[in-house]
Amino acid sequence: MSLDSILLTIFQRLHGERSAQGVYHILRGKRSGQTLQDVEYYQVKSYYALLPQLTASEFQQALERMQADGLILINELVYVTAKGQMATGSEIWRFNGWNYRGREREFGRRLALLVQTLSNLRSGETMFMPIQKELPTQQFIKGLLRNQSNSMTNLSISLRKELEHALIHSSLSDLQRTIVTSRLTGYGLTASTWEQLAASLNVSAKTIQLYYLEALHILLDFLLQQPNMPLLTELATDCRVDTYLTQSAERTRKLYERGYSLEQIASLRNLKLSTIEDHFIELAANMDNFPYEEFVTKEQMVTVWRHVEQLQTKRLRLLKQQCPELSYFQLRLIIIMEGRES
Amino acid sequence: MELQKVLHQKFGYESFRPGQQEVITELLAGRDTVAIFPTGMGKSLCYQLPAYMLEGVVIIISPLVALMEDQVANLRKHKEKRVVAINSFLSRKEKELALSTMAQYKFIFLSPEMMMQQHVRQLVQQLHIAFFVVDEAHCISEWGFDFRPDYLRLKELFSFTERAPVLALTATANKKVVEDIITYLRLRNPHIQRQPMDRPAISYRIVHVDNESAKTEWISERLATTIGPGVIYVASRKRADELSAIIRERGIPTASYHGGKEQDERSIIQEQFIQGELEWICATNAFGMGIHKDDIRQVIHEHLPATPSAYIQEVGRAGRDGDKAAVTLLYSERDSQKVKFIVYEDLPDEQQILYYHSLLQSGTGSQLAAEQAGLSEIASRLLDYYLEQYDVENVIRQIQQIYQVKEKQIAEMESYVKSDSCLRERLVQFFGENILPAEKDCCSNCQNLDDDWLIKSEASTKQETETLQWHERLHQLLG
Ligand SMILES: [Zn+2]
Repeated sequence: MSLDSILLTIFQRLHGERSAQGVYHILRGKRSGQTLQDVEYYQVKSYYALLPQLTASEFQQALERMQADGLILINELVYVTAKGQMATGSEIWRFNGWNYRGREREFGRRLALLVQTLSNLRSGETMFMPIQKELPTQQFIKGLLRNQSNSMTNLSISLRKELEHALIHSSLSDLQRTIVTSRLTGYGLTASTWEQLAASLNVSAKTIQLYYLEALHILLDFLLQQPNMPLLTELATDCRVDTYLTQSAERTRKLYERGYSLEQIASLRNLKLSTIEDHFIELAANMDNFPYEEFVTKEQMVTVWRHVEQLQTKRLRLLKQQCPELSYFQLRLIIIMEGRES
Repeated sequence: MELQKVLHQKFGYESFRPGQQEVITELLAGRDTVAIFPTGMGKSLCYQLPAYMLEGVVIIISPLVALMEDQVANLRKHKEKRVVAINSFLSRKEKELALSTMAQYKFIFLSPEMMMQQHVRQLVQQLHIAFFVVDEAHCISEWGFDFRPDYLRLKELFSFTERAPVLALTATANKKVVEDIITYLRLRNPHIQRQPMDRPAISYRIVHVDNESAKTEWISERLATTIGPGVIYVASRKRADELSAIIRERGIPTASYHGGKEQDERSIIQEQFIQGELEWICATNAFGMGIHKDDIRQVIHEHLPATPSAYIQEVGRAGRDGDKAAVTLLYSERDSQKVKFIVYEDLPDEQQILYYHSLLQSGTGSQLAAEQAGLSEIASRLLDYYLEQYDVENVIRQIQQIYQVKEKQIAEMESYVKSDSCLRERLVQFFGENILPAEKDCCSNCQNLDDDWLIKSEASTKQETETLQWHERLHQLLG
C-alpha cells in the first residue's frame, strides 16, 4: 500500500483539480512552470522529485489498481473516494523531496562505499570489490580519504560514532534504523537486498524502499543542524539543491533585474510571453522577496483569497469568473503568494 | 627469469597458466598475437603482465561497459592506480578530464565507438603506445555469436604501417572467426595461441523433460539434494524472478539476477554469492561477466542457449578452481522454437531493410527511421555499417548470410541436445577441436557419471545466521 498511500495523499491535496499526469510530473520532478506551480499551490513540495525513476507504466499500473479497488475515480481529473480517504491512513510521510530531488541517493551510495572501505581497511583487508560501481562515487570517497590525517581504524570508529548518534537522535523509526544499517556492506558482512529485507521484516519491498528514501531525507535534514559530524556532513556535500530555479527562469530573472519588462524579455529571448509568465510564477514560488506589488495590488490579493476560501477551490477558470478584471497570470501569482504567506 | 619475477611480484602467482607465457613472449617481441583462452583461464594476465615490462600505455578496446568496469576494478584491486575507462557512461566533463590526462595512465579502456571518434583517435595516436588489446575479438566476425558492427571500424586504426602490436583476445573462436579476426584487424603474421576448449573438471548432462513445469520440478528436486554454489540460466527476467522465489520457498538461499535490477541490488547479490551467503543464482545471460568465483559447482540451463559459444562460455564459469563441477542442460521439445523466435526477432528482414533504406534516402534521421522500421538498436547499427559499404541488395544478402549463420548455430545446439554420442566431444567439435571422451565423469551419454560428490549432506543445509540489531551491526562493521 505504500506507493498508493503517497499517491492518495497527493491526490487529496489536489482535491480533484489536477490530472493524473500532473501528479506523475510532480513525483518525477519535472522542471516545468506548471509542475513547479502545482507543488507550491497545493503544498506537495515534499513529494516533488521523490521518484525520479518512476516509469509511466509503473504509475499507470498503480492508478489502475487503485481504481479497481475503488480508492480513486478518474474522469480526466482524479478524485479520491471516501474509501480512498479512509485508506490513506494516518501515517504521515516525512519526505523532503523538494530539497534533495534524487540526490539523497548519492548520499546513500557514498555512505555504503565509505563504510565498506573503512570496514575492510580496519580489518587489514586491502583487496575488495567496491560495492559501488559508479566512478563519481568512487572518486568522491577516494578524495575524502586522501584528505584524512587520521588512521583508518580511528576514522572507522569516528564514522561509527557519528552514524550511531545520527540514527538515534534524528527521529528515525526503529524499522528505518534497521533498514539503513542493513544496506551497509563491510568486512565479513554483506548488505541485504530489498527482497531479503522484505522477507525478514515482513513488509513489502516497495514500502521498505520508501522508508529508506524517507530515512535518507530525515538524516540529511538532521545533519544540517549538527555541527559536530564532519564525516557524514562531508558525505552530504552537494546532495541538497542549492538553486531552485530552472536555468531558463534564472536568465529571465537576471533580465528582469536589469529593468526589462515581461514583454521585452519575451522578445529579447525569442520566447512566448506565456513562457516568461511561467518563469515569474517560478520566481514567485522560490524567491523570498518577490516584488509581487509590481503586478497586483494588496486589495486584489485579498479579494481573490476570499473567493478561494468561499469557493474552496484554486481552479483558475472559476476564479476568473469572479474576478474578470484580473489576468490568469495575476490570478496565478496571487494563489502562489497565498501559499507563501501561510 | 624476468617474467616469473614480475608474475610473482605484481600478481602474486608462482607459475603461469598454460599458454600465458607463449602469448606474453610473442607480444614482448613485438608480434601481433591472437589468444584463444577458455573463460576463466587467465586471459587478462596476457596483457596485464607485459604492460609492466614495456614503456608506454596499453590501449584496451572492450565491447561492454560492464566488462570494462570489471577489468578496471580488478586492476585497481592489484594496486594499479594508472587505469581509466572511457565510455559513454561518463559525463561530458569526466570524459574531457580523462581524455586530457590520458598520458598519465598505463591502462586505458575504450569502447569501440569511443575509440573511433575522430578527436579521440587523434589523441590516442599522439600517445606512446606499448601495444593494443582487442578484447572479445570474436565480436568482429559476423560468424561470431556476438557480432558488433562497431568492431569492424577498428581496421582503420590498425592499417598504418607503423603501429604498435595488437593482441586479440577471445574465449571462443572457430577457424572461420579467427580468419575474420586476422583480416579485419589487419594482423600481420600473427602468432595464434589456442588453448584447448575442453575443461576436464566439468562433467556434462542433458536431461529431456516434457514441459516447463517438469523443469521446475526437476530443479527443485535437484537443489534439495545436491550442492551449490550454482547458477541457473533462464530465458527471461520474469522467469528468473519467478524461479528464484520458488527455490527460496524451499529454504535454499537464492536470488535472481538480471539487467532489470538496479545496480546496487546487483552488486549486493554478487557479493553475497561470492561470500557464500547465497547458494544459487537464477540469472539471465547478464550474469557471469566479471564474476570472480572459482568454486561454482553446478551450472544448470533451463533454456536452450542460441549458440555453442554462448553455452561453452556459460558452463565455463563452473569449476574454475579445478575441482569437479556438474553442468546440466534441461531440454523440452519446444525450446528450439523459442530460441529461434528470440534470435530472429533481433534481425531485420528484407522488407524492414528496404523500408529503413528508403526512409534514410528521404532524409529521415537514422534513429527515427529505425523506430519506424521497427529495428532494434543492434539491427540499426548493423544496417548503418553495411549501407555505408554496399548497395541495398548486397546488404540484404549480407543480412541473409547472418541469418543463415544464426540458423546454423541453433541447429548445432539442437543437434547437441539430441546427440547420443559423447557431449564433451560434440561440444568442442563445434570449435574445430577433436578430443576423446573422458574415462570417468564424462557426460550423461557416456554413462560414466559418479555423482556421489554432489550429494548434499544434512549438515551442510541451513545455518541460519542470526539477524543483528542495528547497533550491533554498526559495531561489527566499523569497530
Ligand atoms: Zn562423454
